[in-house]
Parts: sequence; C-alpha cells; structure tokens
Amino acid sequence: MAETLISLSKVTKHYRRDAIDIPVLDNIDLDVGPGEFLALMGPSGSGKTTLLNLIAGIDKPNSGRIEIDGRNIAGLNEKQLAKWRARHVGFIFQLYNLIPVLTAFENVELPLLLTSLSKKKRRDHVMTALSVVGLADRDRHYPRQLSGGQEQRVAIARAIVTDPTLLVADEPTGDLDAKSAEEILDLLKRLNDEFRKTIIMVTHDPRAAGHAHSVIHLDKGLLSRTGGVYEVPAAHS
Amino acid sequence: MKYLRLIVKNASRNKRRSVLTILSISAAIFLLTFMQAILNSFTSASELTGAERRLVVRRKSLADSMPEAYREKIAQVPGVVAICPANWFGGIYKEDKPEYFFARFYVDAKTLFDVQSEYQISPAEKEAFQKERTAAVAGQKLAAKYGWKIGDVIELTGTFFNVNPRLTLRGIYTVPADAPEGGLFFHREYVEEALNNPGEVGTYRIKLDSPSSAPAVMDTVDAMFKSSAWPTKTETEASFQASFVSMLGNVKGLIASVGLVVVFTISLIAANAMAMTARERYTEVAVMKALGFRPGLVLGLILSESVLIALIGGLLGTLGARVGASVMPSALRNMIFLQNLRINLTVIALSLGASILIGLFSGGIPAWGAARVRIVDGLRRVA
Repeated sequence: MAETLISLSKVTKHYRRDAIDIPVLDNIDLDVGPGEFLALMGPSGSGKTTLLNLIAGIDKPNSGRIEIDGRNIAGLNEKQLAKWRARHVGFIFQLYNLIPVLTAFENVELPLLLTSLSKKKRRDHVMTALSVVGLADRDRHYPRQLSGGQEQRVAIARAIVTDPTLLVADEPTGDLDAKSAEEILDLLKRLNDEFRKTIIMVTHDPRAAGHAHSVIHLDKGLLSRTGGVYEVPAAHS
Repeated sequence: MKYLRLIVKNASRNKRRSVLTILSISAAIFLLTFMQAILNSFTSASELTGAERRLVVRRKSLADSMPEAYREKIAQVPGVVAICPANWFGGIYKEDKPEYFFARFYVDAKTLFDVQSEYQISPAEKEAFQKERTAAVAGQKLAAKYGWKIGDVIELTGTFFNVNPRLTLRGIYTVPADAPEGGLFFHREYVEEALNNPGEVGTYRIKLDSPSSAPAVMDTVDAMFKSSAWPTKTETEASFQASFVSMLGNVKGLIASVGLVVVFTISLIAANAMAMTARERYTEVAVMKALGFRPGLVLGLILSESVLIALIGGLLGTLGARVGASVMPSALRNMIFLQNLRINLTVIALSLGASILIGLFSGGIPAWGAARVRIVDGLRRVA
C-alpha cells in the first residue's frame, strides 16, 4: 500500500448565504502521497480552491477528517492551526501577495519571524531560499521593482523558507505570461524533484497541470482522479 | 524587536496620511500639554516653596477684605509662627499695557520675610526696606526685566485705590530655582495712610510651625470668625491660587473640558486614518495569517503601528509645547498668572501617556477587525 501524507475522508463543505446552503464539496475522499505533485483542475466554482484551503488549514470542513502526516487538522483550533501552518505549509498565490513595503528579503523573512531563529540564521535561510529561486541578487528590491515572474519567485522563496512539508499553490501561473509561467512551473517541478516538496496546485491551465504527477478533476463538488496515488520514487525513499 | 522593522514600514507606507495623522495628534498633544502646564501653574507655588505656609482669605470672595484686628487673634492660634497682612494693589506702572504688568502688593514690611522665608535678601537691604515707609523690594527677575537698581524710583498709578505710590527700591530678593517670584512689595502703612487708614486686609499670609499644624490652624481660625460679620476661609496656598483663578470663572474646568474634547476629536480622526489603513491591508493581513501569524500577533502589530504614529505625534506636540512655554513673552505670563508655567517631566509623561491612549483607542477597533479577518475572505478579495 502506498504511503500517504494527506488523507481526506468524507469531507463536506458548504457555505451559507442568506439562509441558503450552498454545497461546495460533498463527501470527498482523497489520498496524496509524500513528494507528490498534484494538480487540481475544474471549472470555476467547482470547489478546487476550497479543497486547497481545507488541505492548507485556512478553512474548516463542515464534516469529515483531514489528516496531514497523521494529524487531523480539522480538529485544531485557530491558534493551533496557525502554528501548524507556519511549520508545515508554504503558500503560493496567483497574485503573489507580497507585502509592498517590504523588500524581497523582508518578504521572504516574514514566516521566519514566527520562529526563534537568530537574526543571522534567519538571514542565512532567506538567502538560501532566494538562491534556490535564482533571486539572491535581488534581495533589496521592492516588489514594485520586480517583474511578475520575479515576484512569484520571491513568493515561492517565502513559501519554502521554513522548509515546509507541503506547498499549496493557487493558480500560481494565472497572472503570468507564457515564458514566466513556464519558469515558475519548472521551479515548482524542481522543488518537487530535488527537495521532495509535496505540491498541490490549483490550475485552469492543462499545460500547467501537465507538470504534475497526477491530476484531480473537481466538478460540482465531486472528485475524479487521473492516475493513482503517487508512489514515491526509489531515489527519494 | 524583530517586528520593529515591519511595524515601522507599515506605519509609514502611506507617508502623506501618516504625516497628517502625526500632525493632527501633535497639535492635540501640544494643546493638552499646555493646558496641563497651565493647570499645574495655578497650584505649583506652594509645592515649590513648602507646604508650611498657609493663607487666610475672606470667605466667599477674594475681592472682599477683613478687619486688621484679625491679625492679633490669628497670631495667637497655636501653630502660627508668623503672620503678614497683604493687599493686592494693582495699579499701573508706566502704561496700561501687558508688558508693564506684574504683581504689586502692599504688606507688613516687618513680617514679609518671616512668612516668605524662601525669599533671600541681604540683611542690609532688608533693614533698609523695613526702615523706610516708601521703600519697596522686588524680585531679581522683575528688577532685571525693567532694569531696576537699588535706589531707583518706581512710580505707580492707583486704579482700585486713589493713591499713586512713589517708591524707592531698597532691596532685591532672590528665590530658589523653580520657585516663583512674588513681584513688588511695599509698605502697608504707606497706602493705608494715603487712604485714611481704612484698616482693611485682603489676605493674611501665615507661616506655621509645621505642616502637620495646618488642619488644626485652618479649623481654629475659621471657627474663630464664623459668627462675625467677616467670616474667613482658611486654605492652603495651592487652594488659594485656585480660588484666585476661579475669580475668572471655572477656568480649570473649562481647560480640562477643552483638553478632553480636543483629544477625543483627534482620536476619532486618527481612528479613521487607522481604519482606512487596516481596510486597505485586508488581503495582506489574510496572507500573514495564512503564513501563521496568530490573531493576537496581528492585533499587536497593528496596534503598535497606531501607537507608534501617536507617540511620534505626542513627542512633537510635547516638544512644541516645551519650546512654546520657553519662548512665551513674560508679559503674557503675567497677564494670565502663569509665572510658574513649566513643562516638567510629569506633564511630559502625562502627555505621552495620552498619546499612547490615542494610539490604542484609534488603532483598537481597526486592529480588532483585522485580527478577526477570515483568511479565505481576505484572500478572496484578490481573485
């Protein structure tokens, strides 16, 4: 049996608007192996971002279990979830969401402020992360001084600087030109291949999904998978 | 400390708004500091010169006087070691202009320096003052202001009283640093004779043997004259000064009210600015929370920004008030009885405390709102 990092069991999520229940996810079961690169696809409103949010611990299901590395995060309170996210999850957003008044260095350093690392160690970690994304020489640049692709790479550096188990990416190439998008996807692939990061990526773009090991399609809250649970390659074991 | 850079950068992200908020807070704190200093100046004299001195004033109104006969009776009260009748002369020196205004009293020359023991004067000058009916003494700062020297003639024109004293300066006294000067003193006999000895005393200044005697002396003196036609009100020098000012109306209440209204109004303005700042950063807050920043930390960071802005405003306002107090023309000080106006450490601490409160008040609700932002709602705003 394949090893699993993420296990969703009978997860249901619905929103309530003006006394009307809007179902989004219906009894979802999903297993994701460690080191897997999974793409979530589906039409708008299909629930893929909601599913990503639940896995990342920034939203809670109405019912069901979400086990990440053996821990049911659906049962954690807000404070516990914040601590868990800081340690285990790296976020990559469509619009990068860098803090405009902070330099690239300071943006990447942000998650490390929550740790007890010394200033020097924080600096070392930040420069390592910026080197991984190829922007070590842009550490003093502000987001407005960077191109969209560079901003997204800084955002990826911010996502990996704490060395999290899981990277979640919501349309990471949705706001980029084709060349920059390809660079970002190559970078994600590299993080997956070389650094064994488990990546779950929401995308509309079939070419982007093509970089993943497997693709999950969501439609009307139901899930269908292309490819089985990812088997960790021997080289990674 | 590791969050300091984040706080400073966020506080200064919209420079124009931050500068305007800082300026509005500094204006409020400038006024507040000045008002506190004015309130303090009304009561500071007794603190500076010791609590052992007390004043006797006529009950109800300071404008009324008491008989001279009270002097002997008050002097017999246990605890009283010296007593000096003193009347406010008023009048005009040179011209009826603020720059020529200063305090002028006609007093008992023999006991003035016993009661006002903090006034330092050479024995020779003191003796010269006490011996000569038309002699006067002035504080060192007052003498310096008008260039008076020993032997100079000082002419006053009476306004309340139909007498124009022609005085000779026989002594210049000094006071300890921070203590207020009393002004110009001259002989009671001189004015009394010119007025055909009406025998009226505005205030009796009393010196006690010890501060602990004060309550008993105040009770005894007031009880002694309770049934007379001129009942008295005995009070501390601090209370006396407050009463003096109250002749102008409830100045303290007015000043305090204006101060509070100003601070409250500025707090609302600052709160609006902070609310705008927080609203603009809805998504950023959601991102920070997604990265693991707990709601309490978000609350603390935004409150810190608000307090930082308010504190800078407070420092500027306090500094401005301090500079303003030091350059205030002495004529203005005399006009409004502000000889003791001083922006001291207590006033500074209170003003900075008020700044911090403005920061907490103005940033409180926006910070609370930001801390409660649901991450998914905040992130959805982007898409």
